[in-house]
Amino acid sequence: MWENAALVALAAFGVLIAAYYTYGRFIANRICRLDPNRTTPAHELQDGVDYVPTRVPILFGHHFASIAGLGPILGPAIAVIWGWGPALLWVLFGCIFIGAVHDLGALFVSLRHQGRSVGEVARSVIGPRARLLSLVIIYFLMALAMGAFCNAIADLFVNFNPDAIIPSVGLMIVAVLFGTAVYRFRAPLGLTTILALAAFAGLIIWGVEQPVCTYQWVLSSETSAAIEEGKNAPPEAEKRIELPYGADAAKRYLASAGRPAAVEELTQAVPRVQLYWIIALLAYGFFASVLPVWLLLQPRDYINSFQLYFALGTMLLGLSLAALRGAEAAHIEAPWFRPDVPGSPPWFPFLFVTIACGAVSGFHSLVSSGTTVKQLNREPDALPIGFGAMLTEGALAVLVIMACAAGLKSQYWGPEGLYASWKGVGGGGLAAQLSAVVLGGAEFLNQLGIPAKIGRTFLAVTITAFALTTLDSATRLLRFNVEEICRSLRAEKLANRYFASAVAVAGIAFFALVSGKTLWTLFGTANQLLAGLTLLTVSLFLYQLGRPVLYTLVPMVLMLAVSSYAMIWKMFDLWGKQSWTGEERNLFFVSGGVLALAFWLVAEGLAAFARGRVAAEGSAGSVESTNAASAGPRRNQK
Amino acid sequence: MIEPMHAPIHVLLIREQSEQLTGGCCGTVGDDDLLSGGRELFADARRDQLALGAIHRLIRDFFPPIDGREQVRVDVVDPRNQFYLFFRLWREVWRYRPGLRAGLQTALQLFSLPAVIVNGRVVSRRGKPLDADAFCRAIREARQAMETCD
Repeated sequence: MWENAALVALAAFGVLIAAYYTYGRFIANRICRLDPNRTTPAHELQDGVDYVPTRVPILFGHHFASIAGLGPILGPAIAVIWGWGPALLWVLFGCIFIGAVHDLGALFVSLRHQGRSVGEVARSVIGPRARLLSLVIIYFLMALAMGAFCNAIADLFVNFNPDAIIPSVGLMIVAVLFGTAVYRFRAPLGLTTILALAAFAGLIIWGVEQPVCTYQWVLSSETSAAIEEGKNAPPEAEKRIELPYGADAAKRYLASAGRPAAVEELTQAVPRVQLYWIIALLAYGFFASVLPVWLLLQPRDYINSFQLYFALGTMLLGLSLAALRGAEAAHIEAPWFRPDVPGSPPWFPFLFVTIACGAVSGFHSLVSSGTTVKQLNREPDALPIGFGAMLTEGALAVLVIMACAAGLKSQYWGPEGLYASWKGVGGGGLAAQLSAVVLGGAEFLNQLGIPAKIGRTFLAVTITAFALTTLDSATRLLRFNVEEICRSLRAEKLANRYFASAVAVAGIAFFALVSGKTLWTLFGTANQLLAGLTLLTVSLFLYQLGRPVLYTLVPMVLMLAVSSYAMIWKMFDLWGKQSWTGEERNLFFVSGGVLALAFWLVAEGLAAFARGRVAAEGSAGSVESTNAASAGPRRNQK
Repeated sequence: MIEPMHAPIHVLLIREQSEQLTGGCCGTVGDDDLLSGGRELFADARRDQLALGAIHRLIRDFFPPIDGREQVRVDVVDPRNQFYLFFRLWREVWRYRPGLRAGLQTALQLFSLPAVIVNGRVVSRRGKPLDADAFCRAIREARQAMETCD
């Protein structure tokens, strides 16, 4: 059984389902004591606009589409290098005992505070500094994530997937046309959607047929001719460059063809081309963030939702089919546990900060306490929405682990393969990890008859599209932050969208250009800090209500301890070096900054608990009594 | 099978959630003022929300539950929730059989955003939400159709 990916995935799904009916119900009924007779903010403040009581199947779809993104894909793809066993166990354990409790807890405190966001609740429960702390963590998080994404897209376009360039750029044009048609000319939704998806499919085929090898643009004519030779070699030739003609494959071909000078030239050219791509992406982030949202952001986000569902559905179906047929793609090639990966940091604690979103994500609290809470029909619905949706995201992470452990054929796990050493996947940058997911996932899609090259491009473009949408909106959010800062400094003239966007882009550029490829672990840690802040808020609220706090406090302490240990390990490792590169210096100080945030969070928590139950009894008590008093006949939707 | 006349009338309001800002690794961030600074970024989507919000309130005020039974059941769905929306629209068409043209218009989503659908029939025109009178007329017609079929 342990060699069959589909059976392992099925067993993991079984564990998640069992956890929902046991631990989930325990947290909901015994700890949160979700009350079906209590009026939810959706009923109490019902206006048909923001506060709309919504049935579970609808709200689940909205909530899941809001929390699922690139995060649960990246982390597991890296962490599987230490073996699929620990990665899977951490996803299951983290998801059930930390992530799902966190999401449900965020929804619960927000429910009992009339739909206010966790940030606002934290301010009233912990203190005014909590708001500042959450702002700092969030913006740290965004700048880190955006820097990492810029780096990854540039790397992917140059080294691994030049076939994704045409569809990725083309998708922007399709999105603009879609936005104009739907939002300005009120074109029929279904027809426009079909046309947009058809255009997208056409772009993928075009991209597959015509990969844009931008690295060739800066090479000498001799090297470029040698690469063309490799591309045009007949399929049966032993030495040739395989589609999609990434620089990585070109380098391997040139080395095998005995052209060291060409290899050297290409090695020097790649970082230069990546830099051009990063600059282009930053420029894109700047312009996209000042455009009206209906023109690009909203339509692309709409198309992204189709991509996500299609990718998930087909991967799941492909894996099942592979298992039924006994295909190679269903056979797990990765080792169960591999603690001694050459060149990697120790699996403990780094596994736990590498897989962040698939196990626990602080960002979910923003969704839970933002839109979702205002639509919750009955309090007990928080269980399927908060707890259930997180478990579903865990299932997505399980699928990614299986894509890498089984979808990738044995050569990826062999001595020369991508996962042979940390240099290949962990140290190779985000694009190498994304590439692993793309290759493994394409194998599953192949089981459904989708040609591997089409599946590969589709998955690469799906990932890129998510990253670009994120870049657009995160630059926008950072811009607001800069505008606020300018206003608070009374520099009103600087609080305009262009200046603020430029400053926001500069912040992202710092991480993208300077800090390089090691951002993901830092991002994971920052995300877990945000989750820690939410769990602290939930714990304090439960404490004020006189309920057990162990189920939220222990996960918070565990998570903070592990992520702080990872940061300290990293800093000590860097400290011991004779001299630092620019990247290492930045990494040291950014790690220090993240660690300082963790200590700040712990100090706030200790202070809040020291103030005791009595000090804050007023707020909790008033929330309880207000709700009890207003709990009239429930307008229920069944 | 046509449901008996006491079955509620199903109203589906299709419009976007206002805030679709992606916050980082994990999907979208809701309307958290902490992040957006309270800005009305999605003014267009907001206008649609407000217009359909009026219909939502109208249903609550004019068609309240009688003896605990709903007269009109209303759902608000974002078009991004396609997995739900697709099956829901086909189910509505199957249940109410509004006729070939109207059924195709609903099932194939040949309507503009925002849309109002009553018992499987699109009653909004070119993305313009209905006024109160037109909506009440649509409800009355839906009720008559159910009674006739019954």
